[in-house]
Amino acid sequence: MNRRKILLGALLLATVTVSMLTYAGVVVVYPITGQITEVAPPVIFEKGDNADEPGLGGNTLTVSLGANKTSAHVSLQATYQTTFIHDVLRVSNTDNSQGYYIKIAVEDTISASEISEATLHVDQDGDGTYDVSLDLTTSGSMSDEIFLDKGASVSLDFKIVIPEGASLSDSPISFSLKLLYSPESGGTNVNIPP
Amino acid sequence: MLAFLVLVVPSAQFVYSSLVIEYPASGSLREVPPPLRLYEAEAPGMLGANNTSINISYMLTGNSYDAVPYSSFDDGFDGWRYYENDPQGVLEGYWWEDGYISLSGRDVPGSWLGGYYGWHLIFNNLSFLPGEITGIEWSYRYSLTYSWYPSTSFEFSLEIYDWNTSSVVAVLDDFNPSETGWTSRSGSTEWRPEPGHVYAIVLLLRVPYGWLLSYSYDFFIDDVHLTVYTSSYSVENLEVANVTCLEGAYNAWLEVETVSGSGNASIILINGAYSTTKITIVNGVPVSTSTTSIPFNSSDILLRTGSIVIDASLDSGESLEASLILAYGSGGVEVRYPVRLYLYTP
Repeated sequence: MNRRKILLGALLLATVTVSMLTYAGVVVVYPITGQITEVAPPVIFEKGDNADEPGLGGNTLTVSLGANKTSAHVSLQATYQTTFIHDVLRVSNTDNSQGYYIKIAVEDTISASEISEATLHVDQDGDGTYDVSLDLTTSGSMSDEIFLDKGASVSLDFKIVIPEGASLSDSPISFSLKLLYSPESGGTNVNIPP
Repeated sequence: MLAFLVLVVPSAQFVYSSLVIEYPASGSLREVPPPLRLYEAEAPGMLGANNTSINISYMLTGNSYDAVPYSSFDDGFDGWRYYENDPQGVLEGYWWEDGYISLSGRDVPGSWLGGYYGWHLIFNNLSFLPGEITGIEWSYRYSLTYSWYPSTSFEFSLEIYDWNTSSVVAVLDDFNPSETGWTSRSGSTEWRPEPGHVYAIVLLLRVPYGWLLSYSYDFFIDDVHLTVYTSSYSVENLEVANVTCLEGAYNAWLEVETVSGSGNASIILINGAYSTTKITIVNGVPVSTSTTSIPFNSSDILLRTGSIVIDASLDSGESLEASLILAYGSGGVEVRYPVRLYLYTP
């Protein structure tokens, strides 16, 4: 009888202990609600004046935009010495209420040994000189911040240098970039999660 | 401590609370053989491996140049053709052969009281290099053929017109043509250009009012030259490089990057149909640093090939080095080739 009581007591103690382990904390629950409003993209890619115009070697400076103009693909050509490609792809701010700060980042570089320079240039203030440049041959490089005022648009221009004597590649060279933008200056400095 | 927190917290919020949107962009780059290529011309040059650069080194030895732009009166002839019975009705008739560059023409109708049915002009701007001029000679040849010659012969004159003063500053030749076939005429003038003025050489035909209204004739002019003799070494119309368009259609032009040394030069780009404006270098300083553009087209025989052409004058011991760019493009693409020009004297 005594042993039974002891066994019963031990069982009760174990149950209380397990219960305390699970439920012993003070738990306070606050409700959090939210809503997500889907808005039209305020910053978009657009075709420049020279998009889909003749390029070099019988090719075309082709520009393809995504369905919502939030992605873009360009097909460019270059030859020996220095080749500039002007105003084929633009970034435009369609938001008439505020400006945005944009940056361009290199994801996959233009990597070809015969190319000595590949840069992206932006004439931010439209004065005919480039204000912002980005090295397209260095992985992870990121441009300086470009302010895109409400309703404003900038062209993404390219400069490719292939020294004489190099062998030209028979296959097109692919590259990929990211366009980052934020309503705050410095906002594009944050680390973007993968 | 509190102040530190106040400073730090807003900063942290600024950095990490931003709304950042990310779009993907991609591209492909195709490397193509150069559609426009440089080749050696009259001046010795060192071509790059892919005909996309050239170094030209040229010694000036001559002491004269032609102030009439290259090929403006040289490839074929210019002139007037009258076939009508009514001279008043044919005063529209200035013309010139295909392939000429830079020429302009104009008709100035006359009046019976003025004694002329009209004046007909063909003119072209002259190109004088800075520097002392020791002599100027002119020459040309003309051809006259006719079925009916006017009862009062027409007058032809070769004149120099000053655009700055809007006046004729020199009449080089003035006569009534009568010889049939090709006839050469030449002479010299004491006239000298004023620095900074722009001049044109004018071929002027004055058709008089005559009793016999029916006449028919051709009057052509060819090989018009104004040879300028200088105290310095000079060269004119020197093709320093040839340009060939192997594929496509592009506009091409020249730019100056740097100039060093001393001396005078003017540089143009021409092809079978067009000429750019000049790059002008005076005493080693570029006065104009780029030209207009002209079309090149691989499928057009007049536009397929062209040349970089210079006029230059240097005093003894001088040298002039110019780093130029031959640029061409179509739409959004622009390609730039380096062209280095080094001129020197004995």
